[in-house]
Amino acid sequence: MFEMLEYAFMRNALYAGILGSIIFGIIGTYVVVKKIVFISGGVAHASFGGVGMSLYLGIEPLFGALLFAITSAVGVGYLGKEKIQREDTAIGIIWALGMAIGAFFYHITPGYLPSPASFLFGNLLMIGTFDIYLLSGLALSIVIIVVLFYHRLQAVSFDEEFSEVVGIKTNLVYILLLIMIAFSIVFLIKFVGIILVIAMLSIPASISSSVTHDMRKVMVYSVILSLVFILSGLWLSYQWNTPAGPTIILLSGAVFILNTLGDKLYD
Amino acid sequence: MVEPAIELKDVSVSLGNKIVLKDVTVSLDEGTFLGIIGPNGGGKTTLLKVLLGLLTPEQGDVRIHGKTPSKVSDVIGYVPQYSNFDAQFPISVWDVVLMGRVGELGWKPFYSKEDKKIAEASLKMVDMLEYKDRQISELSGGQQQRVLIARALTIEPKILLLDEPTASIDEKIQTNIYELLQKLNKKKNITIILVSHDIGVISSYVDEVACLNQYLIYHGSDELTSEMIEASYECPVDLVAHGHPHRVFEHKMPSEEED
Repeated sequence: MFEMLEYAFMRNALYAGILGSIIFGIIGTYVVVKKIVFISGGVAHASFGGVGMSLYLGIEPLFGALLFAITSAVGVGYLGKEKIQREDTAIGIIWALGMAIGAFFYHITPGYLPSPASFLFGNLLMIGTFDIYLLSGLALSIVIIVVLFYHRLQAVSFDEEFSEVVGIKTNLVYILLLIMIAFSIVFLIKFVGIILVIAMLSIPASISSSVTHDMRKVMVYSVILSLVFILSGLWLSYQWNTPAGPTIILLSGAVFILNTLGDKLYD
Repeated sequence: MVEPAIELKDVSVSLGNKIVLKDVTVSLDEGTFLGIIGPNGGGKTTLLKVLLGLLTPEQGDVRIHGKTPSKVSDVIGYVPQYSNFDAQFPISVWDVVLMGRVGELGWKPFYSKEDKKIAEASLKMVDMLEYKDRQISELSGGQQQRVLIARALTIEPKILLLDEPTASIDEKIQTNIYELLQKLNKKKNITIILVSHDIGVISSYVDEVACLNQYLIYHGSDELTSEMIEASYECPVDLVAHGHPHRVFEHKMPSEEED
């Protein structure tokens, strides 16, 4: 176990994994209970457009990805809320459009580029010290925001109409949530990838909510579960020489299926 | 002159190109217990939204204790249909009830002692205090409805608005809910408006009844005539009284339909 930490990239992966667990556990809980898994999936895929555009412009891919993620998250949230467009239609379109923009820019950008697969499935080798700083800042901000706004976030997630009636600016709270989701997805792209990130936002929170009905506990359990999945996934991927992202997701997915079957049999 | 609790003048609302409410005019004194009945799609929910300030009518004037609906979040307690919720949602009875105080948080992250005292008193008022640590989905429909009423009471409202409070709740429990509402109405002088498609039960408990189907038919009395209902439902309705001996409904057979 410890010999793998002799590699700098594995140490960074470990830090990213620990910080990622906090982010996945907390944000994933909101994604699951508010039933916005597919908005999150659409936002993740839309961010690929930003990756491609950043590579074309020669800037840090995360910045373009963030711009695309936030724009699409807020855009879909707004279109759905105002009933301008059917929400699931809007999600599907930004999903594909983002991927198309990414693929387009990949094609027209000259020179050597990191493989698209690195962004789609994650690549621990891409995670640098800068990413660890970003993730630390994000994890800290999320913890602070969630402590300060816990009751408001819970109220809006549970009953938006009532929250509005008692004077909560529900749209602002919802947008705050979507922006936190966009940041979480983008900052963890290098770790698990655009396609797989949604599994880490939904699996730990979903398993946790099957064992407790207290939202605070769902968050804590999700953080712990994410950490277990990530650490054991990292270790397995090192042992088997397999990519880390897919290994972590396969492990989480297997536990999710067993847990669901177990619940069914237990009933 | 005492200000009416609720006053609507010529209120019209259309959604898309469909007129949902047309020239609704009504004035209710404080302490009124009004039941509004009408068919699904007759504008009941829209009327509630107008009263709650969630929807601004394109025409007409709405006053709640003299103020516009957007400024009265501490006057109206809203009780939505309990069946609208995600039963899986991880939230305890206690947290649901405290939600009524969430608008009072301001910049504080946590509920104050006073908030908690009010929540406790509200749960007591609906006889649900012993369930406060339960998860909302572990409760029966009637119990969930009581919790939602307690949540609305934490606002310490002058008016309670209820949307189909007894939909998919069995009849015995329905009676309990109506008795609870009657108690709140009489003892605390809370103005109550409830909307329902359930004609029979509603009219045994409310003081006044109105029919809503685009137009609001309201005579300021508890008399429910088949003409009122027919005008709203646009078809003959068979009136059945639910075990309330001193009210006699006009009985009318539905006319036979022709193909």
